[in-house]
Order: sequence, then C-alpha cells, then structure tokens
Amino acid sequence: MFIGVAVIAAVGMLISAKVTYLKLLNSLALVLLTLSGGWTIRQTLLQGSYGYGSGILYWDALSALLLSVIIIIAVYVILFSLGYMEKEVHEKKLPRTSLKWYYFWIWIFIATMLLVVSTPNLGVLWVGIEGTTLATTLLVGFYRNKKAVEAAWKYVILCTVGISFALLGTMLLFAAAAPHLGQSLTALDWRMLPKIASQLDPNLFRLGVLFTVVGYGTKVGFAPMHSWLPDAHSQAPSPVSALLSAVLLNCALYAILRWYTIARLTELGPDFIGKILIGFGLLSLALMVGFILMQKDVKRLLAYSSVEHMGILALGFGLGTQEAVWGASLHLLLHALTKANLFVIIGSLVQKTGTRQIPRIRGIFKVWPFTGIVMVLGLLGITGTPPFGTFRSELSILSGLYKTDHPILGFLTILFLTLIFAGFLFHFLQMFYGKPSGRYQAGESVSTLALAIPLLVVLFLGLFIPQSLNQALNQVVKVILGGV
Amino acid sequence: MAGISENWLNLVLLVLLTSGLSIVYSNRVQKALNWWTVQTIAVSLLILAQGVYHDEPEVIFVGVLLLIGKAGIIPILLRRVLRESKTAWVGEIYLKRATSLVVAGALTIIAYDVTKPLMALPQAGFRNGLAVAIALIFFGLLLMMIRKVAIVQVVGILLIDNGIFLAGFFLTQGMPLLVEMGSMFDILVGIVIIVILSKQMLENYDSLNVDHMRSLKG
Repeated sequence: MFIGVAVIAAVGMLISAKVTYLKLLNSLALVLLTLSGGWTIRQTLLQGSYGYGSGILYWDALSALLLSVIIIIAVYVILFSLGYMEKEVHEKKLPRTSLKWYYFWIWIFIATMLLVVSTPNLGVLWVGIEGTTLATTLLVGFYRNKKAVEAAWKYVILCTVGISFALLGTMLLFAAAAPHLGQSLTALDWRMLPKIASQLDPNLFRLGVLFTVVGYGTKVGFAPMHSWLPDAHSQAPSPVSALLSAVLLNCALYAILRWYTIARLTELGPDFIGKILIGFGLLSLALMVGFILMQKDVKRLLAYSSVEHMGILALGFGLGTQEAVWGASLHLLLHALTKANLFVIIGSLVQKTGTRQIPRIRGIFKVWPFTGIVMVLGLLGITGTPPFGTFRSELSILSGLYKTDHPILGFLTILFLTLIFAGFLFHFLQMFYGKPSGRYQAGESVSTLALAIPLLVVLFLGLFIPQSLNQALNQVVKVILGGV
Repeated sequence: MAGISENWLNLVLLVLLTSGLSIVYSNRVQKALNWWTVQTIAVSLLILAQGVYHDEPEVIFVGVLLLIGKAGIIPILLRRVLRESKTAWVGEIYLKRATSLVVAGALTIIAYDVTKPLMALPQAGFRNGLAVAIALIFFGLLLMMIRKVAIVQVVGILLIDNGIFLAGFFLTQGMPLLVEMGSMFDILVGIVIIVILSKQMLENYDSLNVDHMRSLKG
C-alpha cells in the first residue's frame, strides 16, 4: 500500500517542478504515507504481527519499529526539503527543473526502504537494499561538481561490491536451507528459517553469515568499511544526508538483525554472530574518536558520528541480553531522530554561512540565536548527555556490557564516548562564540525553533517513556532474541 | 548438473576461467569488455543448457534474460561511454599486466583451497564450478584495486557479479526466480546509473581516471 504510494508519488514528481505543485503533491503523499503506514504499525503492534496479500508483505514488531522510523524521518525531512531546496534554486546552486528529479529519487529511495522492512523474504530484502544504493547514488552526486561526483562514485562502487557479498551470503543460506524448506522462496523466508535453524549446515551458514555481515556492514558503515560514508554524507544535499544517516543505515542494520535472529538459533549459537557484531561495534567506536576530534568539516563530523552510533547499536544488539537489546532498539529510534534533526539544522546553517568548514563558522549565537538553541539541543542529544533519551539508551547498553562481565569493553566504550563528547563540545563551542564574519546576513524567524521537534521528543523520552512505547520495545526485544 | 556431461561442463568452465584471466591481462578497456561479454554469453548458455535439459521454463527464462540483459545491453552502454571519453588504456597502477596475471593464477589456486570445506556438501561435479566462480570474484576485486580507469573498475564489478551468479548456480541450482530477476534488474539499473555518473565525471574531470578523485579525505 504505502510502497505503492511512494512509487506513484515518485512518478508524479516528474510532471512539473512548479513550487505549488511540488508542495501539494509532497504533502498529499506524506499524508497518505503516514495514514497507511500508521495503520499498519498499529495493527502489527496490536496483533504481534500483520500480513498483507497472503503474506507477500509481512510485519512484526521489529519491522514496525523500522517502519515508524522511516515514516517519521521521511515526513520531517521532506517538509524541510520543500523550503531548503527552494532556497538552493533561488541561490542558483541548482536549476529549477532538477527539483523534479530530486523528489523522484527521494521517493524511490523511500519506496525501496519501505520494501526492505515490509518483505518477509531475505532475497527480496537484498534486492531492496541494493535498490536503496541505486536510488541514492544520483542524490549524493546531485550538485554534479567534482567533489559530488567523486563521492557518488566511491559510494556506488564500494556499496555495490559490499552488497554483492551479501548476495553471496544469501545464496549460501539458500543452499543450506533448501534441503529443508524446498527450492522455493520459502527457503529465504525469515518466518520459516528460525524453525529449521538448528538443522542448517553450520559450514555453509557460517560462511554465509560472514559474507552477509561484511556486505550489509559496508552499507551500515561499520569501520573499516565506512570510508564511503563521510564522503557521501558531506556531499549530498543536507536533507538527503539526513535521510541517509537516520534511515538508510538503520535499514541495512535491520538486514543484519534479521540474520542475527536466525543465527542465534543455529548450531553456531548466539555467541558467534554476537561476537562479530561486538567486534565491528567496538572498532567503529574506536576509529571514529580520532576522526571526530580532528574534524574540520561540520557535515563530515556528523557523518563520523553516525558511524559511531552504528557501532553503539552493534554493541547493544551483539550483546544479546534483554536489557542491551532494549537499549539498542530505543537507541535506534532516538539516534534517527537526533541525527536527522542535526543534519537539518546544520544544513540550514551551512546554507546561511556558505561553508562547511568549522573554523570559518563563528558567532552563531550573535547572528542566529534560534539556530544556536537548536544546535545546543542537538549537541546534547547526540552525545548522550542526560536527561536526553540517548543517555538512557546508551546507559542501558553500557550496563548490559558490565552485567555480561565485559568490564574492559565497558571501560573502553565509556572512554571512547567521553572523548567523542569532548570533540563535539570543542567543535560546537567554537562555532557558537567568537566574532561572526561580516558577510553573514543576520535575521531568522522564530519558526527555526520548530525544527527542534524531534530533539524535544528525544528529551521527553529521556524523562518519561510511555507505556505503549515500552510495550512495543519489549515486543521488538522478543522478536530479536526469541526468533519469530 | 546431471544435465550436461562432465566434459561439456569442464569446457565451459575453461572458457569462463580463460576469459577471466584475459580480462585481467587486457591492455585495452575495450578488450576487457569484450572478454567479459564472451564470459557472460558462456554463463547464459550454461544456464540455458541446464534449463532445456531439465525442461524447467523458469531456468530457461533466467538464461534468456541474462543473454539479452547482461550480455546484450550492458556492453553497448559501456562502449558508448568509452567512445565518448576516448579512453583506450586500462590504466595500470601497482601491478603491470604480466605480474597481475601471475597474481590471478595464485588467486585461482586460493579459490580452490577456500572452497574445499564446502565440497562435501553438493555433488562432486560442482567442485570445479564453485572454485571457478570464487576465482572470478577474486579477479574482479583484483581488477578494481590495480586499475585506475573507471570503466575497468566497472568491469571488475561485473566480473564479481558473474562470479556470484555462477556460485549461486552451482550451490543452489538457481535461486528463486523473483530474487534472480530482482538482482538482474538491480545490476542493469546500476550500470545505467554508473554510465550517467561517468558522463558527469567526464564533464568535471575530462577523463575517466579515478586517480583525479582524491579530494575527499579525513
């Protein structure tokens, strides 16, 4: 249903690039997307799972979590896009006709992500993930200048190779499962696989897991396969960076999580894939410290922070205890909200100052106090400062580390997080104060504050988690830890 | 694989392996592309033979799609970009042609070694097939590392894709049709997008040399 909405919307965008037309069509599509998606999420959470068209599309609590993240961020980012891209056109950075293609690819991108979280089949899921790469390549290179083309090229080459490894992994799984489930689509169905997981050939499956985690991991941005990520995030138009960082990475992680739930039940045991995830998670955290401390480009700073947060998520899910997985699921949602918000506010800042270089941005509070306030909230949110929700979720993961008797890992994680906090604080304070350059055009409307809505939600969730959300998260934990 | 006799299978595998080595050894992009086309035709004939023998319309369908979609459309698209860019040389960095051939030979042996633990599983006849498939994947990766012309890197990806397709064929006798078609559609769209990007690259850099693209760091 909503996949159809997104595809039709995408095609519809190509008809005209007039301001009112784009505004109307986008709003209409967003309303339909929210309604149909919201209804599906509600049904899924009420019944535990929900199928459509005799199970061609199928959702459980984990898919519902991802589905809500996609829809919330899509609404937020596209609404921001409408104003932001108009300004880009106004400043002659882009021709007006290119807006058609911008929205076309954005909606195709959203459609592929919706497909990823709606299919119960690991093969179709692969097709969807590869589709997200293709849909975003031209968005990353949207400005068509040297740097944008370079970023897009690196992105498409690296991710295509990565994803093809995941295909090999999927084939190995098929080879392992076909003797038990038959040579058909069923053999890749994540509803069926947990039931026969203990009979899967461990040799084939082990190799399959390795290929798949490395493959999808490239897309998630796990270090050391993350090198495409800062390039793509910094060169793409800011709303696209927000979508990439807040949803695309999570979708790829979702693919790994589906494998994770199956792998836990095989002969290899939960430790095998858990250790791989913890390894990638810790490595991502460790490597990002240096990049974040030395960073000069503010959008790259946010990109590296995404790698860091994916590392935290991998740690949480990899640990596999009730508490850690609960924390990681919450963190997935909160990181998406925070990072989308930050990319949006930094995007409008970059648009105003005309530079991404941190040393050349000074005195934000003097010139644009409202932007400054939103950025303070973003700074506190992304670094996991109490009382923001991110603190709560990170704490849950950390306490999971200590409870499972990993004190050294716990210490390292806290050390890395502290260093990253210091780096963020250092960079942001520099931008807040100092003497603003004379070229800045002061003045902004109070409506800038409205951009901070996601961050306020994150703040709220740090203080109070509604019963319904907690129940939903517990359902997600059950799906991940207990099979289907 | 009972469909095709052992001898025929070995002949096809020989074609696949030689064409893979020839791609690595090519000094002109056009040659590499031609060898890749030959290889893809061989792959699709293998699939077609299998499909006809077992009388499986699904498999025949995949074979035809492969022949038209991959062996047909992709080389035409890439050739057009090549002509526009006037690129001929593959751009050897790190390894010269002769050395890279030796490395590729070594990779073939490694491929046989890597696939050993999987040999116990499917029928014995697949051993060569799976090893050749893995070898092709290695060749593709090698090519992407040691050549700097953008289109050669794309040929590398296509080589990996052939390898993975073959591996899938030998491991599972074909994935479900939906997945096969989806992955083939993805690679086709991928090539179209890569062609668009290479044109933008030509506009910006006036060449397809990826060495120019080193500005994004840190």
